[in-house]
Amino acid sequence: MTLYSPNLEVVDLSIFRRGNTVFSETFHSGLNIIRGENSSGKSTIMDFIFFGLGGDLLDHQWRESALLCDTVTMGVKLNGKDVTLQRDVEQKSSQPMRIFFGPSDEALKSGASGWERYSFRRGKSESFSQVMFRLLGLPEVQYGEANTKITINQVLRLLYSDQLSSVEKIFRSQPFDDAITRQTVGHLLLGAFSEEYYAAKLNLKAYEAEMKDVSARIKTLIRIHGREGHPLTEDWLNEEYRTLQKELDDLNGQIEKTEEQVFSAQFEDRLSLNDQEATYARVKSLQADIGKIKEELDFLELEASDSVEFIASLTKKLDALHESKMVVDELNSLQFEFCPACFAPIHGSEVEGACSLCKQASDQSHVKERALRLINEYARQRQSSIDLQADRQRRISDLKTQLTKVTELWEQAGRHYTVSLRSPTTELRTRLRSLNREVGYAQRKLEELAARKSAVAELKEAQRQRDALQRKIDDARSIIETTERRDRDQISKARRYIELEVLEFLRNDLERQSTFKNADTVDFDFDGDRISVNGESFFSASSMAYLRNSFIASFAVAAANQASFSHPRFLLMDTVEDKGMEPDRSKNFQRLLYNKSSSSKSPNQMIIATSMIAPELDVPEITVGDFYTHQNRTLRLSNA
Amino acid sequence: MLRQVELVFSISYTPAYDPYHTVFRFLVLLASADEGRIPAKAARVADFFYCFPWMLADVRAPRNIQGFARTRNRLVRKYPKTSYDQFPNARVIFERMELIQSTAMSALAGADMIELLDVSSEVLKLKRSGVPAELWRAVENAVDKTPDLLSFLAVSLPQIGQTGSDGLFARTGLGEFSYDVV
Repeated sequence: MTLYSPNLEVVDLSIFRRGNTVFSETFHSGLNIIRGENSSGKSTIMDFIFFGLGGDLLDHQWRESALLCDTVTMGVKLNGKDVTLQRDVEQKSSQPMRIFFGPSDEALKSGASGWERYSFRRGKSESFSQVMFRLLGLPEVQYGEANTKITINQVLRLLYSDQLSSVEKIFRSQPFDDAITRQTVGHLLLGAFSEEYYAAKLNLKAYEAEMKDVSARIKTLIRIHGREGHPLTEDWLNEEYRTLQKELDDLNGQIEKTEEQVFSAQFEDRLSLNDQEATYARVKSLQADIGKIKEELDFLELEASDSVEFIASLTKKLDALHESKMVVDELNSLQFEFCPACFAPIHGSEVEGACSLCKQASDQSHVKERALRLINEYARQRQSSIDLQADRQRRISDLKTQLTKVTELWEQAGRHYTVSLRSPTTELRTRLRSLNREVGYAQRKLEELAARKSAVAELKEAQRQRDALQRKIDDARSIIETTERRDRDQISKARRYIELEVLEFLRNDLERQSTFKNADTVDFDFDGDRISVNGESFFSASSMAYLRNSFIASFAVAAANQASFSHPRFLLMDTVEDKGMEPDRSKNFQRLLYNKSSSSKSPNQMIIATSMIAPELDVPEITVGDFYTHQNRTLRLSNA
Repeated sequence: MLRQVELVFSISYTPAYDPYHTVFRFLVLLASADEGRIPAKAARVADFFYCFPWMLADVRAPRNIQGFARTRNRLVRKYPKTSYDQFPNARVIFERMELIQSTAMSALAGADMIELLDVSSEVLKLKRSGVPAELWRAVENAVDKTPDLLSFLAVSLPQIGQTGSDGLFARTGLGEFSYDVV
């Protein structure tokens, strides 16, 4: 028989209390049956196996008698390699594990040396899940957004059918369970994920991050050192060098010639006032500029200060109008006793509410309206003045800046002029001076080019990196794509294998559920955590238990016959006669399981607990330990 | 020229000729006076200078009132004439204001905001309870804006005698001498 990997086999199990052994049995390949009366401690042993392999028991899931024990030591074969696992019994979840790399008899003799302690969760150091995954050759599947990784506990949830979990579910129940975890575990055991796939995924992420960096660097380099219209390349740089060098050579040649001329013509060359004249003209024109700016500035400042007064007077008028309006609001129309024109006394008008002066019918609202109109008019006028004023202030500040600049230029020109007055130069010397200036400029450009040369080199390197990264990214993507395709194929093939096995279990069931007898399709959802037969998913409680058992068993059986599964070819079943299953139905299932296990292509291990063992299976090659009773319980606590 | 200035002055709004604002100004002056009381004649003069404070420069300071000249000079500097205060002859304006001022006074009395204490002495006295709350708030606001000017106009100025060559009209140049009624 060839060993398909991963393969997990329990070799022996020892449970200790205060240094004494309270349980110690060996297991074998294939079907292992722990028999005993109800409540004789079979489930306790099953839980201990689950716990010993790295399963997580929560506070309330510990049985009373189990809590009396101290440690569990388990010899296992991981892909045929002997390893001993040890965990301390604590009524707390996420207990650590000690691992001894060798068989259990050696481990127990070695005392404390040779054991390595691993925590439940990965932190700075490895977790025991990581160690076991490595020994089993299972990929450390990462899933979800938060870099979560599958633990051995998650895998065991699909291998252990316990009595506490609901019969409608596939997985052993646990709090904070989510669909994506279940689906990932399911697909992992179906053989979907490969190390290569995960490596590619992780690499891709790293490459893409690196790519982002490199691209940003390239962009920055081009932005900082690039010049309009010039590609930042070595060719361009060299061309630029050549041009500048030629220019420099040219200029130096001219300088040499001019110097020679200066030397030979020293006594004939006449002093020239050209330089003085040019600088003087510049001083003059700058002075004129200054004058113009100052003139405009004075004008604007005058206008601005006038406008301040104007706005103030408008504000005063507006205030008065507002105040006046308040009085209008309070008083009825004023009664003039004398005419303001002729000072003749005014007699009351005949019309009620008419103006006492002109006798026209009027009412107070007209007066208010007039006041409002005036207010409106003045307010508008004031606003437009304020706007104009703001414009003016902006222009003033612009002009002041300009004035500073022109003044500075003028001062420079003035200094230059003073210098030119001090040292009248010859025509040739002036030319020499300007040639020297040009050489200085060209030299400066050369220095700039040198700085840019390093940028070009850096850019070239970054571009090389980018291209290499792009190739790696393409490779990783194609790996991911092909493995994803392969995974999809594998998942659908594996599901089909399991379905066929489940159908066999169902069709060979005693005729208790007609749907089972006529079963055509079995469907299961890891994320939804449910199984259905012919589209139905509700049956009697015992049939539900039978269906769940069939599924857990079929998964292991299919894996034992197909190398492509990543299932460890191991199962732990404490539900053979759960939910009032009749003895005959249970025994029938046991026989089926025995046949499946023993006829599989690959070594496998199935550990089940039952109180009603099929008689032909009650042989030492198949059973483990005694037939336990209330007097002879699995845990011999009285010894300790 | 005078006519032209006068014309411009009248076309544009001026509070001096607005009887309603005159009502308001009297309230402000009375609010600034001791015990809310000012002789009517002094109130008219004070009102005029409240409109044109820079004209105080032409007021002859009486010696018997301490610090009068100093305060006057300070106020003239503080409230100067601007180029937008185009202005005809002071007396012409004051005369034209008279009718408006007396209309405003009778309106104040009619609205029960002042009491004319004694017809012969013609003293205005503020009747605080007669002034509506909102209007009073505006009055207080106005007092807060120019308290120095107002206390000068409402307290110091009325101390000048009403009649004779040292009387209020003579010193301010706003009117003929007036004499005691014989």
